[in-house]
Amino acid sequence: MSTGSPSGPQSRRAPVRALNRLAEGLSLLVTILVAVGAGVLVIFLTSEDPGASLRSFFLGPFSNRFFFGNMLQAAAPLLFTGLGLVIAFRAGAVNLGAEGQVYIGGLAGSAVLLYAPIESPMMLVVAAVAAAVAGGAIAGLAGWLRTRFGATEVISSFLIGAIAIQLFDYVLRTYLVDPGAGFPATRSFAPEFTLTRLMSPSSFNASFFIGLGAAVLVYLLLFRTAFGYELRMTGANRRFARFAGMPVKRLFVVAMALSGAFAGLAAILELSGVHGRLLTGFSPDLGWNGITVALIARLHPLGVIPAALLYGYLHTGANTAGLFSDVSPRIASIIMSLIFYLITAQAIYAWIRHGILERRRLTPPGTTLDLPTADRGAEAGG
Amino acid sequence: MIGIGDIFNLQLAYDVLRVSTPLVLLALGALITDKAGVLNIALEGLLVFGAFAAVLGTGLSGNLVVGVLSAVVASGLLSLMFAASALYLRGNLFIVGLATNAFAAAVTTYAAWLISGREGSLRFPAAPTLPRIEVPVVEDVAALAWLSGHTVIDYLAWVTTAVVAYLLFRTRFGLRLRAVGEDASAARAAGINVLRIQYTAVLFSGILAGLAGSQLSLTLGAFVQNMSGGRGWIGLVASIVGAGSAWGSAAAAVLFGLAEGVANSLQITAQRLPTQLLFALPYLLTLIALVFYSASRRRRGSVADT
Repeated sequence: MSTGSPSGPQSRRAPVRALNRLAEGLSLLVTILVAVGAGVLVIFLTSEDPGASLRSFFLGPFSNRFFFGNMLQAAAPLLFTGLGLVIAFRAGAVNLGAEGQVYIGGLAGSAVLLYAPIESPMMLVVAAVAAAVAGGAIAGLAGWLRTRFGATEVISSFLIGAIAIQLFDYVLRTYLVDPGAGFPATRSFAPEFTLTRLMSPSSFNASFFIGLGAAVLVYLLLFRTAFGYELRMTGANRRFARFAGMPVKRLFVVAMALSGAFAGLAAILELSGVHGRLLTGFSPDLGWNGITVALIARLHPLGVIPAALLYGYLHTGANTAGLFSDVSPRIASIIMSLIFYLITAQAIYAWIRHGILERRRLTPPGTTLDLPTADRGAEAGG
Repeated sequence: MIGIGDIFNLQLAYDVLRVSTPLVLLALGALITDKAGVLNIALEGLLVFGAFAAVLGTGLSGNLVVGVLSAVVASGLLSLMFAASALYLRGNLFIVGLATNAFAAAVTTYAAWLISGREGSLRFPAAPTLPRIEVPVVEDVAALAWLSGHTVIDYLAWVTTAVVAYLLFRTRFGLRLRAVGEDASAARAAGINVLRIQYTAVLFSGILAGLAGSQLSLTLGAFVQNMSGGRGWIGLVASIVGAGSAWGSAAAAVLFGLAEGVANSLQITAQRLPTQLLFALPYLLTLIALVFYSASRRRRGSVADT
């Protein structure tokens, strides 16, 4: 809805806003095309048969049920980590420990499933709560260290996450490991605790649909509740939020904790849906890729859905290319890292908005991501 | 039963000096970029890139000098990519820093696979490793012997500390650099080319990270995935805890090096201690140092409220 005055300015502003939107979409497109183009270039330079490699990269995910289902499933856990990071970034909290939050959440949730007194699917809910609490606790800790002691969460969340990953590995190998597994993994969860495969032989399961539901819920939370409004205000203009009487410190910690809780949920759904047990290194960089997904989504909860699917497509495409041609599945990581590089580049937006769509400088680039920067501390004084 | 002397001895002093080298170099790089107003999240990736290029350059040429130079050039170029993404394309500083880390991890893994067929590591069996330099006289004095037998990069780290201290606080360039970090718009008004200073500072940190990476991989004689082990982050915290001084940053880096050294020697002497918890020790100490430093600064009122 427009916030402008009712008559004149609004009618003139509407096309401006449409142009802003268009420019934003185009800059996203340019970013993805450049990154995928670089990936294509790498394949061209390194593959013996680039044509076949590119075909299996781009068409592989759609070639049969197995790959198509795996593509959707690869997106599922990223819906959760991505949504969590949307919440954190919206509140101005830079959570760089999601990877550790995934592992600690997976550990807590799996412990519940392994030692569950009853084998009822209800225990899955208990496990999910345990995973969310564990992930939320260590993320919230990083947020609290900032509000209480002024230690920046940008670094502390990473350090706590790194400690959590070692702790996960220690507990897994020392207390939970199944010696018969042959590698650091627990015994399988009871069949009641695993999610049904919906598109066999792929690993596609209900976690994808739970993720879609979660995206809608987060959208409603952020944009249709007073809490969401306060949370967004905390990120957009902390000073204003404080003067308006909002509990900015508490909102900051809660946003961090929520993002960690989503990372924990990603873990338990991935474990019960795909692996059926806890194992070492189970996260394919879910925490880090969640950041990229949140940024591709332009920090919009519903945008997380196509962003996660894009990742699932690139990931599965790289896997099929790895299986059927002489390309390493690692090509997906290179493409994702390049998207990561360009996704916040305001210059691309400004170039499209003012250089191509309209040669006059009408509005300042107002639709860019407003993440906190290094000098946030100075600006937030008082 | 392990006595305290089994851990805290002259061998530990030698090890601490050795494992501190990359941390010192990274802390100095972080300090310079921080003084220029750029929080350097990319150090981890710059370190990985340097470590990889050092092994590749040494392996292909059979020459250590070429290896170290390759590392410096590779990390330097990557640091410029980081700087350009933030300063020219105006990307978010944190995000392009993380992107640099992700890019370095992805590209080195991919390249290792292309070259050797293995994703996790790169090694050229015939390639030389960094030689240890015995310092005459010092090596014969029992109490000082731990100062001898280090690689050229280990010694260079300490020379670099002195150079950075001089550069930042005794030269016109250092004054300008600090002015940019204090208040970029005031510096611009005073006629300082802010962008050039920031590019230079980031390039400097890239070069130092290249040296740090060389020390890591060329003493081992191989590149291993994840060999950076969070050192970029620890170096970053060392520069923060070092309270803005080169010697302070280096001292903080040695403190974190002590944690790593103790963890290493505990791993050998006390085999029942879980390795994972020892790996976590440097991170834990770094976190505690960060929190204590932030809390003390806040108490003195020099940092704004949340």
